[in-house]
Amino acid sequence: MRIALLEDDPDQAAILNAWLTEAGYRCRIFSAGNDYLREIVRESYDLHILDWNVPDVSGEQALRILRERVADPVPVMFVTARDSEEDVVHILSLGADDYLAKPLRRAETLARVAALTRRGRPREAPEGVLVCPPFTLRPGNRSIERDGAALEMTPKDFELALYMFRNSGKLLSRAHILESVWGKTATLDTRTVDTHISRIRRKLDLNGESTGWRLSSVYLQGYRLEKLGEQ
Amino acid sequence: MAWRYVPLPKQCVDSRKTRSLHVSKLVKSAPPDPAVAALLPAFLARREEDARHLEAALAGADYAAVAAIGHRLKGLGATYGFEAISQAGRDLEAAAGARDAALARRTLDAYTRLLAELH
Repeated sequence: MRIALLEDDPDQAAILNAWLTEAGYRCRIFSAGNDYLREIVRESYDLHILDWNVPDVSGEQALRILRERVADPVPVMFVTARDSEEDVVHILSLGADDYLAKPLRRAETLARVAALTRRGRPREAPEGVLVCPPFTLRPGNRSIERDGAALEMTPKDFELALYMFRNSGKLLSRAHILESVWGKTATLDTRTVDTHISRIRRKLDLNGESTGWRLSSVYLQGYRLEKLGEQ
Repeated sequence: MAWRYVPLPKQCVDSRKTRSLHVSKLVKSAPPDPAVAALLPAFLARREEDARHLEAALAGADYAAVAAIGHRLKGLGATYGFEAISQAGRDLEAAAGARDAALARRTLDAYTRLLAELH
């Protein structure tokens, strides 16, 4: 999971980054609003954490712009030392999904982050089986079926397909996909993503016609897998 | 002397209700969080800088600066296990809002003593 953190205070940023990294998230820190806004139009994240008082563009303005420019309903958590009821209501009404008043507490912060990143993901069976008719993906034995018939895939193509189905409906940048499927330290080019995407599109017939699923590329931004007929 | 981080038993940890700026209460609020231990030296160095900036702000009756630093301390202290630092931040913010130089002075003096105890 990839998190964008807009926070100018080095001590707040450092401790949040430490907690999130330890919990398995990858965190990108922005200390000024302009840098953050430049990034969000070309990169995708699973969660945005915004402080209110930051240089250039306030967290409040950044939230408005994020909601205007990024069509996907990515979750946003506001984290600030401003704790009046009026402030909380104002920020939630602008489109934030959660509001956490500083000082932060580790367990509560991580629980809220987990709750927000869970939202919008397809429900999986207890053993992790993901059913997206006509496909069934079984992470346990890395297998995928279409209408009950097994399809052959390389382990990496399976991981990529699983990742795309788990995040169906979301626009995902190439770097985001690369980090999530190949790992943060992968020294691969993002063109690797293009190659594997076109392979799973072909193998799974993700062209929207026969399966009802379409894996489309969005110019300069990335890829989105979507179920046709769903908003 | 370098400050040494010693995690305390869980029953001693949460003292978010602490209201006064006493070192004993501050130490009791230190959490057993390994992430905090690694970040503490830089955190404490910046709190010393805050104390110096507060001195300058008070000398110039710059209440906006006092409020800004107080706001930061309020949001930071307890996250690092120091509720007393958050309380100092609240008191400084209140003092700045009321332009109460005496309260700001008392809070800064107590905050400075508290930091000295940590070094």
